[in-house]
Amino acid sequence: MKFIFKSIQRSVSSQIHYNLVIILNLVFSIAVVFILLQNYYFLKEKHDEFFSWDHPATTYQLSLDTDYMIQYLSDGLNHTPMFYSGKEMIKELNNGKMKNYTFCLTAYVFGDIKGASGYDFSDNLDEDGYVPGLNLSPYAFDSLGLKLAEGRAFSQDDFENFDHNKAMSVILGNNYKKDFKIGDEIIFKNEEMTDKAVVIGFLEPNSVFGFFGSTSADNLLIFPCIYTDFPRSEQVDHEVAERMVYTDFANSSLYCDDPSIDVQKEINRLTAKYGFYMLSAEPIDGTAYSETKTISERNMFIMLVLAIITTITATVSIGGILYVKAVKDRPANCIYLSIGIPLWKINLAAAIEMFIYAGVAVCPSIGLSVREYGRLLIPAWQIAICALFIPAIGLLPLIFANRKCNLDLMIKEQT
Amino acid sequence: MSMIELKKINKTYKTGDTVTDVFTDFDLTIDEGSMTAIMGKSGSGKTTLLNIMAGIDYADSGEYIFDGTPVILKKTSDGVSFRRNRIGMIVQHFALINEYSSYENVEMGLWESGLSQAEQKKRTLEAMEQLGIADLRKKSPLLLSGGEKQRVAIARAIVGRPRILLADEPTGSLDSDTENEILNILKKLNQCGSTIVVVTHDQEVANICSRTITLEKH
Repeated sequence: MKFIFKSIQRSVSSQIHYNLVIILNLVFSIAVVFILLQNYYFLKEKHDEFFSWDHPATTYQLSLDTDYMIQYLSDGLNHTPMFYSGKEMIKELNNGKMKNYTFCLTAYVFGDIKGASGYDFSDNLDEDGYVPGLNLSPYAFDSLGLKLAEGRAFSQDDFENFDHNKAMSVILGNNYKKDFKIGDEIIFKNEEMTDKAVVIGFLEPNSVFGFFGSTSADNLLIFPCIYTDFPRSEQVDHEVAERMVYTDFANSSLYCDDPSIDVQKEINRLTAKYGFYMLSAEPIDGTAYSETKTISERNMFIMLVLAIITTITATVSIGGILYVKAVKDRPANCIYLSIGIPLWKINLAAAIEMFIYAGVAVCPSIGLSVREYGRLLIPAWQIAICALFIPAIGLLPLIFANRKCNLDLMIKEQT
Repeated sequence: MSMIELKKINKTYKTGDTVTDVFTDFDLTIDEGSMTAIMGKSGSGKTTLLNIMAGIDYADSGEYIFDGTPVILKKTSDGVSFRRNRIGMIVQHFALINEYSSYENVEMGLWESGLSQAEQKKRTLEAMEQLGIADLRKKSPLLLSGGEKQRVAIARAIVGRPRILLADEPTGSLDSDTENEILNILKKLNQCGSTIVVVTHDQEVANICSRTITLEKH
């Protein structure tokens, strides 16, 4: 141990320039490899999340050609015959196997939001300082794959209840389950008025929502979408609400889990039947996304290849520096050999020194990574490989150079 | 009693198609407690002989017996472990490491000895005192004179209490006063019981030795 310590101490202090070049080389190369691998894992995580389906699409995005949009909105506003035939078409669509739905995230920031039993929502704000909420149209709850741990889902009555004097229904994320029970009221209070909602259910723990199941729903307050401000400042006109349902339709989502149905064909049939504008239904999940999946896989592959190329380049560079360093150190190594210090121990000292440098060099990358992502995406064993591979392979030229050390050489070099 | 016995040693060097015979059926015996000078012209095989005795180089054939035990060296690491605590090496240009202090250069000879820290320190200081360089222990070799450097090198060679000291031109780069100083030290070590083999061109060095072997160039 004494030799290893003394040898490293000597090498660190006597070859400062080489060591600085090695450390800088390691810092930059490990950082680049680290960033590439980090991005690779980030891409892979998202890729696995988005492209984990091996089944036909279940979710579609409806869209109307922009040329017809103004006429379409005008139909809704003026209640033209197209508005009424559209309403009938939506009714028929939702009576079949396809369901049309909308949802929107809302942030409740006005006044005080408190549970009737005293729970203060200001203790449970999201990162932007809001109480996160979600407004769902009919059919959205099931279509988004949300499931209840307790209570009931929204009924048709919940969507049609525009009465200001009645409490709205609300389903809470699972994090609220410990503080609320079914039937509890939540009070929304601002300077002008007070409104209230009654808890009808709780989501399952670790629920997520969104097309790609990417957003946590554990802290959500879920309300039925009834096309009104909340708190409800006035009695809402049913006609206005119907108009909103109609105008939202052309850009809404469609859920259909029956793979035997050709959704676009079915939409074409309905629009033709009701003389409605042509609508397109684009799948946004399932294997229909195979092209995007291939592009994503290629991106990941490129990241990996770049990481490997950087590693090889850095290894060759470090190997070259270490070879020069070893040649410069050869007289001292010959002396070590002459006094009975084995070659493997001389190499071990060099390896330990390099691994110390690698340990130092990996710290900025880890620090930046944690700061950027809030966590390490790369598993610890891969960080170790990333930090140790370059110096480990780079040591080979040094070991080769040290093999040429012998006392004969020392005598010749010194005389 | 023989410390080293070389029996029917053969050694050749090949340079391209040229084969040079350095030793043919060469025999040599070094007695324990003796001081032997090995002389000869350049290329006569002095250093090769020293390397074979030190386990740095191998004979093509023949037998090498050290302290009654046959020495069989198959790879470099065998030579390293063979030298440890058996052989002390002294070379013309001292072979000191300038980044270490004089004390560390001497102590280095004990790093692989397995002795405790305290014992290593005690023996190092004893060796330095024996060579009269205890007051130089904190100095770098860069700040020492040639004679002082060679004393540090000799202290390192003897600190592990080896069975034999092998010196290759130990006074080759010293002035005559310093040369005498170093020769007296070697003489004293020999008188205290150390077996010493010195490779030299210098007749004065050979004169203080109890035996001189002169190698002929083949």
